[in-house]
Amino acid sequence: MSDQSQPTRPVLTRLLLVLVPLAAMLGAFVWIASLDPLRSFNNGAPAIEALTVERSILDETGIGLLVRAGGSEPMVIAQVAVDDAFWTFTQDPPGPIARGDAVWVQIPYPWVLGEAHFVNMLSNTGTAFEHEIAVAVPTPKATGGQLRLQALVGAIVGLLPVALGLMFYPAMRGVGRGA
Amino acid sequence: MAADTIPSVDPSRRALLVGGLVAAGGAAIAAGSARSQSAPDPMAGHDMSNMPSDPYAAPMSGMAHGNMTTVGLVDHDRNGFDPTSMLTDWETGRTELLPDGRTLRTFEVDAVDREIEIAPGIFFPAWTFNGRVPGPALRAKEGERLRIVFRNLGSHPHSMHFHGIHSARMDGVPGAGLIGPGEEFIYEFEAKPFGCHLYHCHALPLKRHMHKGMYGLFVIDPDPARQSEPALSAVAASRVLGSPENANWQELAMVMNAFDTNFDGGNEVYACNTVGQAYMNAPIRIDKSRPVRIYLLNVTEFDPINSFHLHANFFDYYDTGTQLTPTLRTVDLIMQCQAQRGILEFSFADHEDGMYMFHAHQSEFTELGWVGMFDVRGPAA
Ligand SMILES: [Cu+2]
Repeated sequence: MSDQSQPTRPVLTRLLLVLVPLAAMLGAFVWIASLDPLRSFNNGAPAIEALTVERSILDETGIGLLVRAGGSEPMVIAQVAVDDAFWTFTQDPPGPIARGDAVWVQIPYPWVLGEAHFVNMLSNTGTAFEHEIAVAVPTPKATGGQLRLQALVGAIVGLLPVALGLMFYPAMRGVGRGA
Repeated sequence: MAADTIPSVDPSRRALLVGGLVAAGGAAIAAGSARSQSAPDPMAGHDMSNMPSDPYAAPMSGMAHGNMTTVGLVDHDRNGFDPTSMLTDWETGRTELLPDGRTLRTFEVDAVDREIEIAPGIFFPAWTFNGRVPGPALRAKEGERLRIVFRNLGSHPHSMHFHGIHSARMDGVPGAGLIGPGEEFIYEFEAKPFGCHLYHCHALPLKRHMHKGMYGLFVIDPDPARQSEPALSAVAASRVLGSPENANWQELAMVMNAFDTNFDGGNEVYACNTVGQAYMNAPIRIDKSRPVRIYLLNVTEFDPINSFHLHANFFDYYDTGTQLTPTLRTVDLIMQCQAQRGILEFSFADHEDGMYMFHAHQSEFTELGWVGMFDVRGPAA
């Protein structure tokens, strides 16, 4: 290939060689959009709804759930039932949840330590989204005390063994020399 | 603090900790003071120490059990029917006198597809009779000639199948009054036997047509003239809607129903007259100086039985309402399977004023909407 030199075309020709396919491509886009070839796949089915619980927090105020919507339309949480009982709840921020957005759902439910609970969120269409809390325990909080405890555990498993091991160093330094 | 006095250290976590220490040549005894993160530990001094291990045992603001409720209110105007007015909204049709002296009573019923709000914010694509669920509470008198002009304005085949005595041609099953969209059929039969009955669509699959909302009360009042015993004749007269003997009764039409909103074969919302918790949000006013009579029907699909429990009072129960003497006397709970129905009679005359609860005594149904209140007061209170 290297020995065949391309004949140099005029600038206008080269520009046209780019513009014509570009125009054809744009034309195709407009044509496809106007044709809406996917419309035959629209069978009148209702919007797809999806809710995912990403975090759950159990504390003295009840059950808190971080819920993310993934529906094709904004999702509405109409009612919440815990263990087959409708329960009051608050949603922050309130209102329909756009696709990809997350809200906190706070349910003042008297959960029971060590037992299982089922949260059922009903959308405006009556679609049910269940979330199981397999074993209810209080969610640890990031507090000064909690961090001190975790630092203590880290010291016990990380620093203490090394320090203890190093204490043997003077004795072990002499091993094998006295032969 | 010795290790064995820590009540709830996760054994696997402790083993890991101890094993790690032993492997590192450290002192295993240090594990005794290791604290679990998974259980509240009053010795730790951090803020979980003031968290009760059992939330039931502690007073928690905003966590009263009174929070067992739906959030918000149903828009009855948009629904086109109100559970409170439904209680006393009897459909009596129109009457004319036949040449033989009997009464001909004509009802007009349309099947209509309609989206209804069954709990605040939850919408259900219902199939209805006359746009409401339950359908109109039809009321006639024993011995009358009945004509029910039924038009199917819905999107599926439907029928009206009456629980009563009639010919096979009028039964509302396929081949006998089951009609397609846009068609009309006239059911004709005599009103008998007297009692508390129902009608429902009998198109197939029956489960779907039932739980989509196609059912209603069909009450036939007894003809006092057909009773030879004066006492029974008086009881019969008290049941005839519009009679002087009936005027003092507070009569209520109640249909226990439920909705499978996600069509998984189990109900999400339970109710009396369709709207979950309707009579918690709007208690039923009862004048305690007058007796109460409930025409009760169960049409709940998927669950084998439903029930009615009255708080702080007892009632007499007439199963199916076809007798003028009670089937059960002095009970505070009755069960009904699907399509079972009956008449409850009770009085609050000797009670103090107050809110008296009624509900299914399957706690699950109660807490999913089938619960209400009687607001009992004197006539002027
Ligand atoms: Cu039907």
